[in-house]
Amino acid sequence: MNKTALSETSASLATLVQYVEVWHLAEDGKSMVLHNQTRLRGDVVDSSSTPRSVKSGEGLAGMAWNQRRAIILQEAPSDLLERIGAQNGLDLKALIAYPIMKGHDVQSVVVFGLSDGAGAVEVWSRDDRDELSISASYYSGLKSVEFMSRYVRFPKGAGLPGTVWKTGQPKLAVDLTHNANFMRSFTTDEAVLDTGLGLPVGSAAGHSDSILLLLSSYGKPFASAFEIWLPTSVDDPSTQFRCVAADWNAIQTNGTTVVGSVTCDPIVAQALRSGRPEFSTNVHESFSARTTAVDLDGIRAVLAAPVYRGPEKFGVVVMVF
Amino acid sequence: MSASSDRRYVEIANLTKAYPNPYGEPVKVVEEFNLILRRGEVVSIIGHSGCGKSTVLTMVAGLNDITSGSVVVAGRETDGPGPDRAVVFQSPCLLPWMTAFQNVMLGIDRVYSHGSRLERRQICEYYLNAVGLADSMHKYPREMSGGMQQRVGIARAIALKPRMLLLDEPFGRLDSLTRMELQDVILDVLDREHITTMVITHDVDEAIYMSNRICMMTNGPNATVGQVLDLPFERPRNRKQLLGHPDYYEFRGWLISFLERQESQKSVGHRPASQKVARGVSANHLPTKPVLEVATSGAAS
Repeated sequence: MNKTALSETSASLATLVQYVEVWHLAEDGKSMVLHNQTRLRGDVVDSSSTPRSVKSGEGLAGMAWNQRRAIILQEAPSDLLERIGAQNGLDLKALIAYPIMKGHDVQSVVVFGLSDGAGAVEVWSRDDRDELSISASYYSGLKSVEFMSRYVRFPKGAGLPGTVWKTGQPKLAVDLTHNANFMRSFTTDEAVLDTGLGLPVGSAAGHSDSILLLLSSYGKPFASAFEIWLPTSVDDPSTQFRCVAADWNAIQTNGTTVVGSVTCDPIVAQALRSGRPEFSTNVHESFSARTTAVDLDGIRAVLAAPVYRGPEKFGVVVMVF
Repeated sequence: MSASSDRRYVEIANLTKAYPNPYGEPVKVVEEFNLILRRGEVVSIIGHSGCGKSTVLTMVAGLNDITSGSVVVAGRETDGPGPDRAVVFQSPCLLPWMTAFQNVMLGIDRVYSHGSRLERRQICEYYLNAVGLADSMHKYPREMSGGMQQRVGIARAIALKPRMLLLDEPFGRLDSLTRMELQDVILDVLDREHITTMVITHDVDEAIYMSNRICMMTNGPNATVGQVLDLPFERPRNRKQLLGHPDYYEFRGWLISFLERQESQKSVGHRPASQKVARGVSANHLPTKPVLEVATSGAAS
């Protein structure tokens, strides 16, 4: 395995995500090929791109490809969880496979390895009542949220998952503690949830098949920062893209100034061009088009994942680690 | 009725109510309210006072015009009020010159006009008996307590054999003991008759005790479903057992916190934009101002 320390900084923030794999569908459509494998341990970032491929249903990426929905692996003992953790020297608590889908076809899969820390990952799927209920989940330090979530349902347009389902667009919710519309913040957990990111998984006619919801706190967020880039005109994805939402508050205070910007950073533009998730540890190059003052010290890696609405590229979600 | 139609017995889709403001512009009180009720299910709607709960109920009842959206009951889209949906309001509104029996017979005569006089009398007596008024059915409203009058109102509604029962804070004017008695009376009838029911209430304990599901509404204007709580307690309910259930107080505390939060949000009103974005920015939350300008001023710790 070719591992190289790419950056070492002292200011990096520990994120729940400590391990990332990016898989792309092979050209012949018969296998999923590992494109990137990165460990984000402390301040050290190690990457490798050992050639590896899986068939549909094999491994976590293959399962997400086969089932066309996000997969959460957390149950112990789990050979895969333990093997990936041991190979990378990480104590991983869960693995999340997030499929990037063009219509109903999986184009890529991003696998996140999560370390210990308060947070939740939920997959909300449509049930026979046309409501969203949880079909898979991972919780850490959120007993009360976990308990209540079992009984919560979201009709179309309700709450963060229902809004993502209705619009087919990713949505970022911030300041969850004081957000009256984030009703699960009324629980009695000591851990505080600050940020929620809802990602549509697969869509047809503008409605998502299921929703992947990432909830975390600024103390140890899922990712250090999030951005959502959507077309200036939602009815015409060919127009220029604009940053419609951002949350950099876990690491700095001036990151939100990017909201409204129409100058795509290279990594965002690349994800829009390729239609595939782009992952880079070259943070300065990834954000070289940024005109607003964003302090990149301590940032270890960037993921820009495209979001499709039906067969059309519709936006990009940026996660900063 | 097929199993699939029983699963979607009442379908409320994108229900919206708008009233014109003084400038003639439409203000949406309720916006895109979506809810599906299974046959025989009891669903409570809770939310802050004035959020639009009763507006939803009156639209479902057909007593209030729908601006957009639809209500389908047992496969048929509603168009105005009808005997398939019976309503019980906080005040029973009995006709004072008629006895309890005569008040209930009014509706029965209309709905069961094909039945004989004897059959209609038997139906009336059956339902008055079901709500515990076997000995008081020939009393006038002035001779009855508030609780007894509400029992007449409930018998009058249920005797129509509605497909859907709509209860708008039906126990709001009653003392605690009478309220609990009537809750049991209604639940007993609903369990026997399998009537699909929507209850508007402010009482968290009442919502948990009576309902299969609790629909939590956001504050208005543009009020809608915030989320739905699917309660795990089986029906028929036993109050003592329910109060002793280990999860009861978890649900109760959560619902009370929800109402408190809605109340505080309402009293705070519109916070300055700088506070709204204190810990992050979403352009979707700030549709009326240039996002970049607000975001710059709103950056905080």
